[in-house]
Amino acid sequence: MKNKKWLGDAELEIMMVLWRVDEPVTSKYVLENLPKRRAWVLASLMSSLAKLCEKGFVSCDRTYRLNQYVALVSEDDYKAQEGEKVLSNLYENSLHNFVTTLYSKKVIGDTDIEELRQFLDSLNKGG
Amino acid sequence: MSQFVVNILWVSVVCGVFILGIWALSPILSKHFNAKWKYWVWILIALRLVVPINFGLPQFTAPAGMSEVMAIQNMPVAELFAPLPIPSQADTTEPPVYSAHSLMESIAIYQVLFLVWFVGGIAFAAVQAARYFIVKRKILRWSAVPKRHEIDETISKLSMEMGINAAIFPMVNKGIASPMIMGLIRPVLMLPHEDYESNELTFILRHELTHFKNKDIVYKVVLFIANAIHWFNPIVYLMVQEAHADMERVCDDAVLENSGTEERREYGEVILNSIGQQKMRGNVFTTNFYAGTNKIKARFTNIMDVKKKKSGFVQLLVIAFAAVILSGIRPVMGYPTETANAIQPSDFVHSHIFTAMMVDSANIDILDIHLPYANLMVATNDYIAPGTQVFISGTTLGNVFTINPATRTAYIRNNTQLPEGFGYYEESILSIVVSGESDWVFEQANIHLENGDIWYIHAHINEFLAENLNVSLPQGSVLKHVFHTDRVLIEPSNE
Repeated sequence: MKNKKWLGDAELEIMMVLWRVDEPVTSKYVLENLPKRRAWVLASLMSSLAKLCEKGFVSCDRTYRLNQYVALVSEDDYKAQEGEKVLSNLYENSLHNFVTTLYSKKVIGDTDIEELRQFLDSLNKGG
Repeated sequence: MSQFVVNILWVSVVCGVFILGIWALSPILSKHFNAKWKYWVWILIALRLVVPINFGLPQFTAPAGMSEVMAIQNMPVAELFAPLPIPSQADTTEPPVYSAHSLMESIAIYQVLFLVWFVGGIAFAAVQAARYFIVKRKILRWSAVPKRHEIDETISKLSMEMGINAAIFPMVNKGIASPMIMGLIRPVLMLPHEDYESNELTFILRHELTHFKNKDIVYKVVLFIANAIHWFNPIVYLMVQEAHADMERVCDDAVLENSGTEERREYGEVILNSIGQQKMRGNVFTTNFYAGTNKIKARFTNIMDVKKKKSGFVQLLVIAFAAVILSGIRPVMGYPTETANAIQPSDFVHSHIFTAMMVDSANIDILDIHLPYANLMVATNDYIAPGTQVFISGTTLGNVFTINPATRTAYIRNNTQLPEGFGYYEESILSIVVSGESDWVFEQANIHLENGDIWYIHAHINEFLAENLNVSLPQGSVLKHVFHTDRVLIEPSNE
């Protein structure tokens, strides 16, 4: 992308749906696969999609009866543009007081995982 | 304010001792009991840490004094506060020294301590909360709805089974390391990916839903608040860590209730896989972190432990009760015992009263003295009941004043004359005796002497305000003594 454009939260939700399919999809499909946190209706989705087309993030194929949408900018490209890398440990550690997790993220090297597996095995045999 | 600072420190120290004790004992105790009792002990201690107020139990320290207060209520005020003996000139070898500065310094230290504590706590909480909200927003922004319907289905099936009514939205975010639940009102169950095996998925979802059902986010937030208030206490950080680990254990125990070795092993495998997958995704710094592996090992040991253990509720109750009571009893806070000791019973006719009373180091400035009158300034800022009587003892100013709430004026009742040649006095006491009900601010009182002169009294008795606001006290009980007056040599006036 030459001219940098940014996605709002709602627009990003739409893009996330499009990024997760390999083929062009209809607006109905997008609507069904959007997070339920935001109260999406078809009308607002259509106008957001039109805006995304305008911005050049999405292409709209009007050859069929139902418009088909496909992402033009890849997830990785946009992430790179936003400077959004994978969440670092630092970020995730700042959550630990307020969320519950399966395990707390403090580890781990390859040797550690191997060591833990052996430990689990030894418990299994011992028990 | 000094009272408040001392309260916080006291609670921190007492709870710290308990935390260390439980921490030291837990390897032995966890052989016989499951993690549940500790899980509850931690939260009770945390609650105690969050509410660091004095329970107002002076009778615990001075029951005898209390009965004396009762006794004096029936005595005529004038009799109670009759003029005290005059110290002889010979006692007063020291030159006039204005020692108010030392008191002001100690107030300043408390104010500095309070400020440091307050700013530190706010900074601790604000930084963490801000980071949480920023990261939460970032995570939600980059999350997608899972495509796999099994996730939704398993969540609703497990929710039914576990009696969870709230709708829990699953989301997928490649950026996170571990599955997690965020939020209380609109809980979002966040998964790092959705390619789990079916049984793996069930374990993970059951684990997270168990956290949700146990209100573990609330649990964590209470710990966090305790930690923010006691940010200066390293033992509290230890407790938070331990409590988080025990919370995991309680959750694991609930997930594996009635499970055999095979299932337990599988569950351990799920956790291990989850860590391993994350490693492969390159989201984790590849540092060996032995504390980390040790913690996971301890968790695995707990997971693989099929033995049914008692939850140890009796132990819990004993420890909780002791913690609450012990940190509630203490010498009336903010009242340095040395100060009490510094006053010899022989100094005061009615010294027996003082044992039961709120004592504070406030300051009485003597502005000027023209015998037989004195202008006094007492540094205070307090709420005191109307009709409050001010009594200054420890000097020849053995007078009782009744303060009129409307005029904020106190009138002298009995003896007012300062004897000629009276020596300096120090550590005099201002006692405020309640004789009315409703509150008013005692900032300045004018004490009218019978001969038409006026004394001005400013009172700042913060600790009393902090502890006893809106408490109505029986008539005749003594609220307050104020120590540390200036040392002033009273010389005969030549007027």
